[in-house]
Amino acid sequence: METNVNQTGHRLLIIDDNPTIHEDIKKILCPPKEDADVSAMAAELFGSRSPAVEPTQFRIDSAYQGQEGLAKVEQAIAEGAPYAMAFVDVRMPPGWDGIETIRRIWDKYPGLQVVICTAYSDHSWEDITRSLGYSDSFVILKKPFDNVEVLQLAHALTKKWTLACETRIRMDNLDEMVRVRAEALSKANE
Amino acid sequence: MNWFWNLSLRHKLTVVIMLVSLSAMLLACVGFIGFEYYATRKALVHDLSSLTDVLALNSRAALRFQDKMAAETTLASMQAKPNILSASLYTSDRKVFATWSRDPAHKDARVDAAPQEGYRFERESLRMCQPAVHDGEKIGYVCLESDLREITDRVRLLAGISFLVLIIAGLAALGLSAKLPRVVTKPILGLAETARLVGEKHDYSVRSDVTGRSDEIGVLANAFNHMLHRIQSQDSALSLSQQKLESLVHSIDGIVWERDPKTLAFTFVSQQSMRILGYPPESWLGNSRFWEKIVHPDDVDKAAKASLEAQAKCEAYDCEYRVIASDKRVVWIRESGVVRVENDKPVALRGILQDITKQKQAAGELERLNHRLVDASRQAGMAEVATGILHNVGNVLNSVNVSATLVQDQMVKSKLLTLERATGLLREHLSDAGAFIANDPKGRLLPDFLIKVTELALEEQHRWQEELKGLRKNIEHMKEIVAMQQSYARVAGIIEAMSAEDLVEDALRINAASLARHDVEVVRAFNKVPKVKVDKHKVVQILINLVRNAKYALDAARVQQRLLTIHIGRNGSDRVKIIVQDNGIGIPKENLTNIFSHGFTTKRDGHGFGLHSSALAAKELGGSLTAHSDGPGTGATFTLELPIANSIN
Repeated sequence: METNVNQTGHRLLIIDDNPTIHEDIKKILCPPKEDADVSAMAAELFGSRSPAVEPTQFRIDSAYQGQEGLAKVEQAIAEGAPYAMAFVDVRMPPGWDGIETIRRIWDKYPGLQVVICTAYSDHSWEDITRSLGYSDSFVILKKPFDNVEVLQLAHALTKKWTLACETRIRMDNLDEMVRVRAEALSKANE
Repeated sequence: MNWFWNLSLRHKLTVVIMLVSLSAMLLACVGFIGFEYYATRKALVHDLSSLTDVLALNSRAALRFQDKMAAETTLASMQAKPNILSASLYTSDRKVFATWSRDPAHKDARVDAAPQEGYRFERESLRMCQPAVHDGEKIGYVCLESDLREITDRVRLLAGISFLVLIIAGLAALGLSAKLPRVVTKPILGLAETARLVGEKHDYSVRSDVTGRSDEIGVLANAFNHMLHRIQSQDSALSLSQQKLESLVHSIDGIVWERDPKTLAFTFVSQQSMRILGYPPESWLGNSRFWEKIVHPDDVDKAAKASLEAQAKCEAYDCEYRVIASDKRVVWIRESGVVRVENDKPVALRGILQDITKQKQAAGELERLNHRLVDASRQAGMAEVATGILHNVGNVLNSVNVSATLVQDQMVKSKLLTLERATGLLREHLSDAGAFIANDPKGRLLPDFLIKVTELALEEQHRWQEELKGLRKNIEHMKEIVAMQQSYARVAGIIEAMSAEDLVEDALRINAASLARHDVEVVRAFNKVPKVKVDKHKVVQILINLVRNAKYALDAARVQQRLLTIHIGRNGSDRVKIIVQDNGIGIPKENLTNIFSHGFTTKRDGHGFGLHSSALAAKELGGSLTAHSDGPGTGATFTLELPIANSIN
């Protein structure tokens, strides 16, 4: 599964008890790579065509139960390469359900962006918000889903995650700068 | 006299007898003594008169001759008479002539100065004077004085005798009175003893043995025994009924109780308390706070309030609360009580505590069952075939969707399309193809490009084939799910005789909420029809579909009153028809034929096999489903025909 993963891409995690869903999502997010030679030849032969936008690459991992998902998230943090987002199914017998899994993951790693997949209205919006609160970090995706929906969500949420990370780093830098300046000022005052 | 009344009956009788006999004796003695006294006096007067006469005769000579010596000698002869105290003689001119006295010292004192004829009693003596007559001429008077010793001696003697007689008679009476009254007193005392026994020991079985007598005491004893018999039988009847009542109270399945309205302390608690709660009745009676101690802490206030309010209003009441039994079990109790009122004041609270734990549990069970029923109805309401299948095919559908979209996308981007441009380039240089491929920089690239694209296209085709294979597999999978659902539905069905009305009502009940929400008025035109032989689930499903379609048709129509009419009637000898009619948007003529075909729907979110499967089901049941409409805006009528139960057999 890890063969077509670009080491620079975002890390994604799929937590679902149904293997076909893993397949589906991977098919959508990891299309077959275009042959670069052929593209270059085509450009040379037919001129005019601007080169296609290099598609974003995702590194996708699979977990088939909530517990396993949490373990993978923890492992990724330990490796220093945390997941940007996760697709989580609501119903995953016999273990934790999706909501429970998300709650436990957010306890460890609140920055993870989540897409909640649900086949039918077994969990209402009220049920979900009662457990998770109102948050900007999850989106509900109804099955059967459109390929475009999955693509959009993956791109938007990974971008959001990146921005959030950058913001946090920038804030940390600013804090550091302020601290250093404050130190310098207090030294000058002495 | 008080002492007399306190005397025993026997002594009273003795006293009475003594008094009567003694007073009779006394009266007799007094009479006898009086008579004797009188008679003795009379005899004394007579004796003295005779003596005086004799003395007068003897003194005549002396008086005639005035011989005083002779006179005194005659008088002195009285010395022989011991009772004569004195004697005297008077001349005819009543002058003392001669005197004699037994006591010479008082000789003169005892003599009267002048004679008085006749006799006279003095205190201690009797004086008698008689004239002395000679030849019819009074020649003087003779007077004698006698003492009364004879009388007093006689009276004394008689008194002594009388006293003796009295004593003897009194003793005899006493002796007799001690014996005789027993005849009377003994039976009375027997009765009294019997009465004492009855009174002291409340033993009504004793009887007086004074029987067989015809006198008053016999009658009294008989009456007394009769009375005892009556009392005994009533008493035993009373105690029997009391025992019955008591055993009834103690065997009633509930704790019968009585409380004092002022202190609220229990004054009676039946023995069932031990059985129901494990507390003996004594523990209630001994402790006025006992009740509060055993009632569940959460219920004490509520229960106490109910009984106090009822008491204030003097009304019967009912309340339910929990009690902790002696083995820590929680027992649900229903307390029913009445207030007993006398003279506008409550005098007692009475009632019964019943163990309703089982009822409470049953009520809980009922509630659970009810919930399940509600759940089941809701599920039946959701049981539209397509929805059920969608649940199962949701995931598969997802893969189908993804595969189809991918294949489509990749086809759009397929490198085969660049082949066309490559062949176009070739066509431009068809005349000098060799030179173009050999010399032109683009032409030199072309063979390589064609080879590579062909390879890629083959690769693509292979991938699409794989994808299409998966797609096909998924579609097969969905077909399997649908088939399973259908076979399950077939197996689940049980053919039974049902009332058409019940089937219609079931379908209406499931749709009731949405019909009400959409302001649809349901008109029921039910005729009496025989039962139909059907699979209840299928018929209800068909009817639910029809009602739901009607509701949509009414929703979309602009009518003042949304009417849903359901008619039940007979069709021929072997069929019942259920007609569902609405005044909604109606059905265009061109649609009337294909509304039953698979996948046809006019609803935006419909799947188009409600009517399709309904028609199939009706056919399976041996009936039919038909539609009629006069066109848009005229409403629609669906007729479901079902076979009558006995016509199948």
